[in-house]
Amino acid sequence: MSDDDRPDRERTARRDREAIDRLADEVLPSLIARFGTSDLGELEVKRGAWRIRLRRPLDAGVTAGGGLAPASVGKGGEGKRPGRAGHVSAGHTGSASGNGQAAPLAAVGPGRPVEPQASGRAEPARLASISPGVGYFTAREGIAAGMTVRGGDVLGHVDVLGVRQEVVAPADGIVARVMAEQGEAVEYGQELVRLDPAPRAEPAREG
Amino acid sequence: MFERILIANRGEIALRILRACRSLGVGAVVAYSEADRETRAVRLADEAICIGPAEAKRSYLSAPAILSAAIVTGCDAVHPGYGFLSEDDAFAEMTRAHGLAFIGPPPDVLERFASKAGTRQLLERHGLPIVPGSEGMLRDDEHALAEAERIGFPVLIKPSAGGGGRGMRMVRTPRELQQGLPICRSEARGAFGDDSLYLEKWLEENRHVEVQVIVDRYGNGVHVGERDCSVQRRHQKVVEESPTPALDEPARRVLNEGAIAAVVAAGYENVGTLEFLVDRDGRSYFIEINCRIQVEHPVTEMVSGIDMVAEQIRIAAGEPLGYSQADVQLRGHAIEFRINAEDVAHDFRPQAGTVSAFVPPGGPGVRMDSHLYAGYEMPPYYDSLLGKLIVWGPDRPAAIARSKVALGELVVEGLITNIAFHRAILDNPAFVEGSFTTNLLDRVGSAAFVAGSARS
Repeated sequence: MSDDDRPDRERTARRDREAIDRLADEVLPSLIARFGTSDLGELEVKRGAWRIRLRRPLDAGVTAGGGLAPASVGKGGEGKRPGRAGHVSAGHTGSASGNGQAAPLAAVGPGRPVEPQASGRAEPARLASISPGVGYFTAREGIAAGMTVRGGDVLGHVDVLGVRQEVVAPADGIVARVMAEQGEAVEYGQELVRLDPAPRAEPAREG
Repeated sequence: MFERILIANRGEIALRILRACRSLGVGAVVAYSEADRETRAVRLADEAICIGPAEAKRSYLSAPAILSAAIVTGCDAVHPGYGFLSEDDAFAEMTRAHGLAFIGPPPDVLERFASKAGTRQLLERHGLPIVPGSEGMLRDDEHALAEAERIGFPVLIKPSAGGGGRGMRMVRTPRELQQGLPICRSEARGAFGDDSLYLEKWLEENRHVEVQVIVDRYGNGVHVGERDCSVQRRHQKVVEESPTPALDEPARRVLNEGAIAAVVAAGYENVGTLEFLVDRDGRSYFIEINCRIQVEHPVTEMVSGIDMVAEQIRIAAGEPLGYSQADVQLRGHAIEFRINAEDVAHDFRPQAGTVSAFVPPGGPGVRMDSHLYAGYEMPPYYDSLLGKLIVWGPDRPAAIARSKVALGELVVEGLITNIAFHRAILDNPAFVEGSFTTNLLDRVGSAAFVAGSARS
């Protein structure tokens, strides 16, 4: 088991590095430009399962040179259906706020079973795979309650006008329930596969 | 008639389209982004479907998301509203390819009128006067300079695609032209993905007057009068009214009849707007056509009694117009005020935040089209339009008097708005006498304008 994990984890790490590089090169500059000219206190965008948030320091007034707040990148879908809860700020990405320095990207990797940082939220860690688009849902063959999955596993897909978009497990866990029927019409952000957190004691993982 | 329409837009226009669908007895599904879950159209709709994240590119501008939503909810038509994909011929074609009707002109008509320069040539052939301009697109800076010298400075640099004032710049000298071209090119490329530019003679002290037309699939067409949109800030309309105070009755008839004859002859279909510049001497020049329902359509509805959105839907469904020009009776005067969440004192900076109180005005001839409610959270991702106040009166002075009362009653709290700015416009002598020109706000400076009105 532990031998199988390693290449998997390395692959995931590489994929994440690439994703972060892409975000930093393609998305961040325009986001910073937009934020700099705006009057907003906070701006957050999502790219795939990643979130980028720019926050202006609270004490730096709008006129004070427009110092940008630390940018934080986080991976969404951590047990919260984005949107239903209004703002998508699931879990404070507790970047040292108020220093106005352009902080490095604080990356929160995928598959971390929730709450990697001080969030003070008492929410139970419920995980779910959400729909990446509006269309028809198909669960991957064999996905059923009780099945153990790993963060990043493809659990099914949504057919958006003939293009398959993957439904991905946000973290390691055990399938609790598949929330949509095969072929059911689903909307963007809809909860599709609910997961229970993977049991903590798993000696093989730390091996 | 359609059975179910997907409303692929947001804000006040989504609500407006929903109302039209209901009064026609047609089902409606509201497509929304994650940021718009709590809007009134979504709440009021029998059915609503989330099509993507707040970012417009992945929701309101995503053709696959919109069409997939229409298909999975069993719709047979898509209403694009204004902005976003409303004049995108590729989207219209894609809609048709998936067996759905696009509510607007058919794809081939959209394509024919997609290029502003091409449309000017086409409608010039059908009898409309146009502003002297460059022959075709500008090939390079040298060509631009030669054309500008031929037309005579000042000239306006304009992008072939798009609208909303982006990529547009007025230049008075060859030097300004040389500086302006790369800026406009990059703005046009960024906004519309097309950096072709052309030149137009800049008419000093002009007015913006536009003619509303309705044309069915069978070549029957009527005009529904004109609107004057001369109160503008950086090419953005602020106040619109009908009829225009710039032209007398015979001149307006010539303008409107010329416009409808030209678009019918050119094969236009559905509702549309022909925009003209009117110079100091009352000469009008055609500049462009808008192939969609416009923000200011209620002005025309108030003077004509015609439901423009319902007409748009009917015609897209293939119904004949069913009435003639003689049946279109225009009565009284209507004025529309665009209520925006923007800070006039700070260069009209857009505002976002929560509306703590909203009380629309009432009384005879007063209409408020708005998606606001107390507690509504204005998202920062889209435009700053909070709603439109439209006021009708039997004549222009009566409409202005009622407008003052209505603006005084209108309450929007929690956000900075331009309501006071509108009051200042109503007090401005140039507006009152009907001589407002498109450059007036920018020339005087909007903040100074408000301060001046407050003092007097």
